[in-house]
Amino acid sequence: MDCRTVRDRLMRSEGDGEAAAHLEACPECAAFVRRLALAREVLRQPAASPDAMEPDASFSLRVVQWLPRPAEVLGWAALRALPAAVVLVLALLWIGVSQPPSSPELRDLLADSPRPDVVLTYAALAPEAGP
Amino acid sequence: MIRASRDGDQDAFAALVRQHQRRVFRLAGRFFRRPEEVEEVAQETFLRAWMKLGTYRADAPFEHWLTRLCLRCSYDRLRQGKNEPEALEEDVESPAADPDARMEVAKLLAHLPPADRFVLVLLDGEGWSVAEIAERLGWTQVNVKVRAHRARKRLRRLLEEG
Repeated sequence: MDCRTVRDRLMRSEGDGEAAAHLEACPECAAFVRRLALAREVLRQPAASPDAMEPDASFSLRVVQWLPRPAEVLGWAALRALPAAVVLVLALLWIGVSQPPSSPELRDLLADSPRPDVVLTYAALAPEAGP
Repeated sequence: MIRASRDGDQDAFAALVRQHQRRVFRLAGRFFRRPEEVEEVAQETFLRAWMKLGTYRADAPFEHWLTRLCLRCSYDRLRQGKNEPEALEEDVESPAADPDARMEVAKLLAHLPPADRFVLVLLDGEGWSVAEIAERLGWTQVNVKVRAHRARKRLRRLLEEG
């Protein structure tokens, strides 16, 4: 068994008799396994000291002081919704601008003093759409 | 307490904080050395909890939900590089038979990218399985496996070069 295979197994915590025999014969792999064991030991230890992991009595009060008030939450929500609102306004503007011009008949109908025949024609064709 | 907090009762939320603060500090203390960093992560966790209480579903224990928030806060902070990795193990306690060797390995570990160290702490430190990490972080198991593989590969290289 070569060093690479043994180390692969050790990294997966899969040492066996064959690997143990290799470690006895290979000082480099033996040193590697010692460092690996130490690394795992360090990882098991918390980074912080025990005192640092103990909250003091006023921690919950400080948290409550930091809590945003409802108005602030609303403000943030409005800020988050701003891009969507801008897109919506631009889309509506684009729809408005890209509308085809109204038909000449409708323009005549909406004039200040429409001709009676235009009004009658339009009312006959589409009574619900009359002015 | 959760329902009252969700309705905006800050006293109820303070009681909720008192109930869970030790667990959050303990978890944050896994990744950060300085007391102020641990407290900042704990504060950020509870702040996020307050903001997101509306998304909590009671089908899972509240502790699990809070653990996920704390892990994500820790991960985000590590990724942003706000902590001081080079100073991480300066005053590491050395109860082992060979304190110098342990210190040397601790210094090697400080060279690991924060994301790698994060995964290794959960796997080797907390002893969680891939499935547990995936469940508690909301990642897929494949994602966790890939990250674990990369982290172990870098750890191996560091130990071989060291």
